[in-house]
Amino acid sequence: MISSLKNINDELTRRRVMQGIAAMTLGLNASWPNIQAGYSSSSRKKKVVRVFLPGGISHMDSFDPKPQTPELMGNTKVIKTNTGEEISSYFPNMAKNMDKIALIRSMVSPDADHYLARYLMETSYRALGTIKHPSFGAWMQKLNGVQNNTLPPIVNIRSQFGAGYLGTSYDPFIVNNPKDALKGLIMEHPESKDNQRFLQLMADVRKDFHNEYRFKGVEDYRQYYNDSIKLMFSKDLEAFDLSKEDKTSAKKFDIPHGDNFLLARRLLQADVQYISMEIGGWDDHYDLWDEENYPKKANDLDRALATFFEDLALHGLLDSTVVTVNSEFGRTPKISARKGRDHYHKAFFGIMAGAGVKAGTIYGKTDDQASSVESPVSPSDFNATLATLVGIDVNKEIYSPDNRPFTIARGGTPIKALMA
Amino acid sequence: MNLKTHLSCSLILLSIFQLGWAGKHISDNDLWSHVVTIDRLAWQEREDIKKVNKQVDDQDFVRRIYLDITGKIPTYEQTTSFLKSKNIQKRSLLIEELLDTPGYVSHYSNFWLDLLRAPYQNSEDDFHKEFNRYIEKSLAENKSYDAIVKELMTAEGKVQENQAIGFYMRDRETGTMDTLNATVRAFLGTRLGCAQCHNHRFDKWTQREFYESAAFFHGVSYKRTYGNDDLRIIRTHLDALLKNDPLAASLSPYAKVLFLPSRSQVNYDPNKKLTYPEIYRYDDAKPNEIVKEKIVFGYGDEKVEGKDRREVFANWMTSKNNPMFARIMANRLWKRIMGVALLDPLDDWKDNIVIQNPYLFEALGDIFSKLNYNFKSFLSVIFNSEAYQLGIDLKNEFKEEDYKLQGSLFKRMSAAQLNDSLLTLQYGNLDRFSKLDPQYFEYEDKLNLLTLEYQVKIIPLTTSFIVKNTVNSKEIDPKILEIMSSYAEKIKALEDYYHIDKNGYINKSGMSIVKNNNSKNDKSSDMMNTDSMMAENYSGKAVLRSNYHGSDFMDVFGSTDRSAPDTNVEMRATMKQILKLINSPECLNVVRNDSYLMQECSKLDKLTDKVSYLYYAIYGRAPTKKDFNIAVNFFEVSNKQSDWEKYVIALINSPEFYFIK
Repeated sequence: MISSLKNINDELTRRRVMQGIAAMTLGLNASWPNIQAGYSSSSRKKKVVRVFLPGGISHMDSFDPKPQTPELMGNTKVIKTNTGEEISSYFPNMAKNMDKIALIRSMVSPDADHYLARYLMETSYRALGTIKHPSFGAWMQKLNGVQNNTLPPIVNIRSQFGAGYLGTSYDPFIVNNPKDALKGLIMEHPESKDNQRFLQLMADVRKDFHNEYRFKGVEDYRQYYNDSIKLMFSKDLEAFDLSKEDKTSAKKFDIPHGDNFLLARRLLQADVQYISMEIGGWDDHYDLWDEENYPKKANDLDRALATFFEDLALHGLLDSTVVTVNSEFGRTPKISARKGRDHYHKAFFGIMAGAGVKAGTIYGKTDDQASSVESPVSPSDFNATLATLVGIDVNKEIYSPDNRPFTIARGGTPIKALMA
Repeated sequence: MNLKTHLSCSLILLSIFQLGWAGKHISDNDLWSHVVTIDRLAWQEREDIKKVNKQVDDQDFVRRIYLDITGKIPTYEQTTSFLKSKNIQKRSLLIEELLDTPGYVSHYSNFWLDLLRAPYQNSEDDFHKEFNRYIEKSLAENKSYDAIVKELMTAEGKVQENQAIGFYMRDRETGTMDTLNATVRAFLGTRLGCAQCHNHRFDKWTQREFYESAAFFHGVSYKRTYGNDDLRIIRTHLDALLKNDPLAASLSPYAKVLFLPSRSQVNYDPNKKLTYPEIYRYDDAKPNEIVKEKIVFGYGDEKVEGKDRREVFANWMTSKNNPMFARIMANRLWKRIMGVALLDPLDDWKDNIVIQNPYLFEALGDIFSKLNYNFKSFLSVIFNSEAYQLGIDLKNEFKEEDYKLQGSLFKRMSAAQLNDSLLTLQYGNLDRFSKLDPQYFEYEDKLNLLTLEYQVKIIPLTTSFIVKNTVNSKEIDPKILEIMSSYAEKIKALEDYYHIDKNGYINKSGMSIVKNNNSKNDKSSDMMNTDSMMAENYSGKAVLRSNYHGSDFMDVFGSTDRSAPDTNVEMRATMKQILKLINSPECLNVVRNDSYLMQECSKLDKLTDKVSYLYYAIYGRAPTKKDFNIAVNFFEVSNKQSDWEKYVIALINSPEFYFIK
């Protein structure tokens, strides 16, 4: 895919290319928008990875089984974790990694509708027909600034939640296929002779127009054109190239969903500060325990998540990254006539891990029927906790273009028990 | 009166006396008297402005007017034929002509669908397609503004019976209060939304007034006329049908979709009454008390007649006694065309609002009202005005906040205009792909009736099937297949009657013919034979090109996300836009071998002719000496097809392409 400048052995060639770049640009230098000078605390330099499981994953069959109430268990068994707890036997690898995460068993939501509940989880606000609220990542970019000058600060792997009323400069870079993330966006081999000739032509053809029409709108396009040329030649882009990963390491991720997590880790190493991904298919209203259905999906997720946590620990990234795993709601403890479970919003789980999180804990619990909770945690509370972990004041108000005030977690309460 | 004013008025008077002008959309008298009104008020605004720009020249006019009426650049042929014409009235004639093209319908349908927050078309079994068609048809028929609004607000029934129910269906997940908010915002230019939960912080609307307004729409409910399980069964049977029934398999893809007809339905029950919420905290009403609907806007006649509450509300809103109705839309159209609104923001009217040119703001509304809310007439007036036809001046750049109609703003194309302009380069005149011939609407109406019959017959069968088998059963019920088969026969008969080809186009005597007024000047209409296939290639089933969000290209260029009218229209530059211009499929398609632009260019031999052709097609102007030199130097090194591809991409990447002079 993208060839690295490292592969050009000839130093002279490399220098010529770099000089050539200057000629290909149109004068001004600039940087990615919204840079904020300096950070006052290391919290604000943290990065976030949010894993979303759309559909409403069954809490009983994942992280909150109730072996004491066998009529609710279906075919699910339990397994002991390395923290002395019990989780579903479909998650044996996570059972060995529970010391790295904090598990919340008392999530609650007002909604049992996929769209409304997910929207609430992602933005902390109720979906309305007349406004789009920004994602957590957009908030982070707005209040914490940008860590990497060249790469996009927010990358979504399939997820569509974006900047809302904050505007397109806070929109995510969307990757649909992690194996081919930059397809259709970046010129391959920009340093080749052919492409250099092309880039020279590009500059020539518009030079007169830029010199004559010095209107502000046009100047902005000149600036971004220069930035794009810089980006195309930037080594940072390699972060998106999974084939550059060391072979042994890459092998670990050669599992279902593995490439999502490998890409996320590479981006973290390149200082991309917010990565959101979705892994779907959890809406099991019927035939939940069919071998090809939930058991397989759960096992795949289990392996992928565990691999990711282990990998982050290995690279020391858990010290500077917060990882969350959420679904929009849980599923009914009572098994339905169609051998599945239906939507259940009064109890479900959430996971938090990484920098500043109290690892190896469980917060909140459900009753023996997995149906009512103690110490309820709303999506707002969850997001308020996450905000605090990354140094954002939950009371800080910003204004939408039509002058309405908003806060990052809409009044949610950060949960101190989850913070180390 | 200063010299400029004098000259300007003289020009206008001169045009009037030249005439024999018999405008189709507006009478001679009306047009020029309204134009004079606008231009006189515009001059008043410019009194303390030192420099007023000149009128735009023909070259810039033709590109601009095509973009502003039809949403896309003119083709090479359209540009050159306009420039060659010596007719002194050619600008007015072109405006008339363009208002009658499918391009107008498409461009202004997008305007409406943005305003109504219509979700982008994505699923086949919902209401989007019908709603798009409703808007298209209304604009093609030049239905008046008040008629459209009334139809939208009183819509009900199954989507096959009334395509306008999309107006309500849009908010089926969140409810009619959102529709109420959006309606008041769109058509009355003010925001009740905050008052939904509390008395408005910055303005006078109280929560009680919100509820009194919301009461008009209360009683609307949304239904899906058959369930997911029915869908599954129909799909299983459809697979079987298509395998075994060659007639069904031969139907156009458009028709095949109809075996799974849209399930959407809106009902209205006037007996359902809205109540104040349980946690209502103000003194002016009691929690759980029934809300009496009321027109809270303080203008117009409050006692209005109608059969249902929605009709009462719509009649009041659209009445000529309610001047805001005309003014708000006139202002929206003015902003869309001129780039800056007279009343800004477009939809946040407060009592203390300051309007820069209140006389012009009111006059525009009055003109629209006097023209009986006729869109084509009204637009004709704006486009013929001198205010619209002023150009830009490189030495006279002014900021938006200093804009006083002293010239035109140098704007970038909107995402939709950019999208369609690229498609024009790729396919030539896009109007021939439209489906606005009245025969299409006739055909679709009959298809809808058939579909209703089919639905009524098939649902009882799927329901009883579920009782006997599990939902995932692969069993086939021959009775269901029989209904589907006979339905297929009836559709086939309809398609034959209207000569619909497999791409959904009317095909008369071997050539697909789509009426379009530009065909006499337009060589690209010679490509008729392959039109139908091309249409399938570029749009699939979507007729409104810019309405089809197959990729994020338009989002990247800042098209609205339709969460509210005009929301998040981001016209500023971003890096992603630059990358898209260089690498995206939308741009690379323009340089495909079979693209119209490349084919036409390859017919020319001399380098200078080719470069000339490309500059006219892409920028609407002749290349300068410098431009020729750049080309000569570039092609000296290599002159292959791939070099021409690079050359065209380079031309498209210059802001000269996507800015409008």
